[in-house]
Amino acid sequence: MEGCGSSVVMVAGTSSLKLQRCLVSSVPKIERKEKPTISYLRYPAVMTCECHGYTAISWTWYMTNGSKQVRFPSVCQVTQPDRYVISKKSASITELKILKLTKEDGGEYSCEATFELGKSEGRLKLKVLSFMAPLKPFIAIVIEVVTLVALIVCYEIYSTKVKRTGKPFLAFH
Amino acid sequence: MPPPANTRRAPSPPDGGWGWVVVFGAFVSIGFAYAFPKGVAIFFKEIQDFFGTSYSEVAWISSIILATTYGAGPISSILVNRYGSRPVVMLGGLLCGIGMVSAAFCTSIMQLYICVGFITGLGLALNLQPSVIMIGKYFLKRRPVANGLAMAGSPVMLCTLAPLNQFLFDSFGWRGSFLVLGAILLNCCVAGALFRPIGPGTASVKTQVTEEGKGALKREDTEDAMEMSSPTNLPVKNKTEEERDRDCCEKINQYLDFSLFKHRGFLIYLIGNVLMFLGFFAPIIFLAPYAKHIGFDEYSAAFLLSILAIVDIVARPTTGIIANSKWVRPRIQYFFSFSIAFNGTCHLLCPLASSYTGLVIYSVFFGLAFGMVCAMLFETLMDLVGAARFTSAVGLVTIAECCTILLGPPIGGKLIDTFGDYKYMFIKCGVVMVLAGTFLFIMNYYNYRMLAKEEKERKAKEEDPKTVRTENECRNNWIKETTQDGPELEPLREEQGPKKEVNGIIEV
Repeated sequence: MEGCGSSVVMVAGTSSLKLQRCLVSSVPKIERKEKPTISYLRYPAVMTCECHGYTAISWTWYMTNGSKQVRFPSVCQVTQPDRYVISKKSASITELKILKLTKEDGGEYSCEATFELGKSEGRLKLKVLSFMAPLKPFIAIVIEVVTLVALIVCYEIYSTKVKRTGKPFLAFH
Repeated sequence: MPPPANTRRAPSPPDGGWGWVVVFGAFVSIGFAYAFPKGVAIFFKEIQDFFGTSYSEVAWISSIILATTYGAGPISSILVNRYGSRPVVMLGGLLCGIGMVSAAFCTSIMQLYICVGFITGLGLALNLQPSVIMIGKYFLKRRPVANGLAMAGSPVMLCTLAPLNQFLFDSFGWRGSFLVLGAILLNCCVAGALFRPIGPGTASVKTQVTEEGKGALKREDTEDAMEMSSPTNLPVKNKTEEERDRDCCEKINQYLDFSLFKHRGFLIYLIGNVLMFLGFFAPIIFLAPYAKHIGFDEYSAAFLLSILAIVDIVARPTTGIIANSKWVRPRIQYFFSFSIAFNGTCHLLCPLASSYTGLVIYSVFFGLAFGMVCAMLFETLMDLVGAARFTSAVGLVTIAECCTILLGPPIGGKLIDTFGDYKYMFIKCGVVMVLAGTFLFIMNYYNYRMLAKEEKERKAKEEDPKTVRTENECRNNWIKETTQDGPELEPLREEQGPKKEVNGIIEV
């Protein structure tokens, strides 16, 4: 069986140490959200990458700007140190948190994990919307509700009037 | 002193006409109340990642919604007793909308608990109880059918909300989805607008007189109403201190009828249902994980729940129609007990199903049993306490059920974790429900006999020739049950009641 030779990867679980021999001949795959992460302007966004059961030596986050890959932490970090927070949630999970999103933050990101055997990459998408996007269906539904309530109330007033003035001998129903 | 609200007899319910529109409104309202806590679970993974909490912390949101929806039952009852159903449902719809819209702007999990959990949960509570109460006001002869149709709103809404929530989530993320869901929940206000007030104190009091010619059934109702409206004719225990106490009690009872705790039928229902809910919801929650545990894939597991929902949608109105038939209606309590025991038996047999076909068969029967129980859940309570006191009864029952509803799934989960096997959870649920069904069956047998006996005694005392006796004595009891439960009548009935209960369960 092809293996990693003498390399043994130790993964710390919550209460016990699991010894797991690296039995793959290639680097582990990164697990991340397939669908784009959607967040809103001036709100934070969180993106996570995970390599199940393995420990990466280091993680690096990139943002694809056109064709260029910009690395985090980048020059931006110096001027706006509070904008990005890269944290290691556990041995196999990394998280990039962008506080106070701007329109330019939307796009493709990639998280790269460095293992003994090499590097592995996962791609994620971030969509930044303004609140106008869900606001349109919201207003449409509110208008529908108000219209329906008004219609029902008007119909009731109308039918009460008809029954009172129009047909006094029939039973009120 | 005007008779308290809960003794006012509603005039003969129309049993149709605008009532079917009210059923549609109740369908929407009840659907949102039951389906929303489950439907919102789609967003939990994303919220968990966003706030960095554990899954159980996020799952608390569902629990808080459910707890508030059931726990705020008495508040709902008090408000309905005071203001009527329509303003309460519209307020509920507004609260739901406000809760979800403010949830869209939340920045911590605590804020989500408050906005989605408490505020929306309270709004849903103000939707659920008045909807069920309105059905009792608009229907009598066809009430089981109306109840079955309205309760069918729950699975239909769940089937609609699940893909809708997924679509909203893919388009707008969880924040935008909450905003749009807030608007969707405002449709409960539309449902509320449909709840035209009916009953004494409105113009429909005239119908009491004009509709008297409509049949023996209604004739009895109006006579009983006239009998009720002159409480001084009834022999009450004649002590002045007791009368003063009663004034104070009646003032509280105007808002929430605590004298229901002396009502035999109510107590039977309360104990039976509180026991039943301990094993009612856990199997649904753990069905998909159980299927995955056996080895089936995620989609097959989810398909089982779809089968359950589809059978449920069909089962509820069908049960309503069956319960309305002339053979079942007088003995509806037995039918209810049977469906609970049937439900329990399904759970007991589930561990025997190890193949996918077996699980599908289990899902079909479970959906059937679940639908049967849910369709009659409120109908049986109305049958026992009558439409007049139902407002308070439903509030008191829901707050009592709240505890066991919340305890059921965690106990099931604990059993699964301790034994590592799902079968003990199914056995526990099955045993609890079979016990509850048997208890209800026996106690209702006793209750029916007691009611028949009291009816004979009352008839002998009053020698009222106007009381129309139909060939089915129990059907008469069912009609009388809707009229006899004012607090003024309590001491008269309870003189005989408690003595017999002390002597044993079944008194011949």
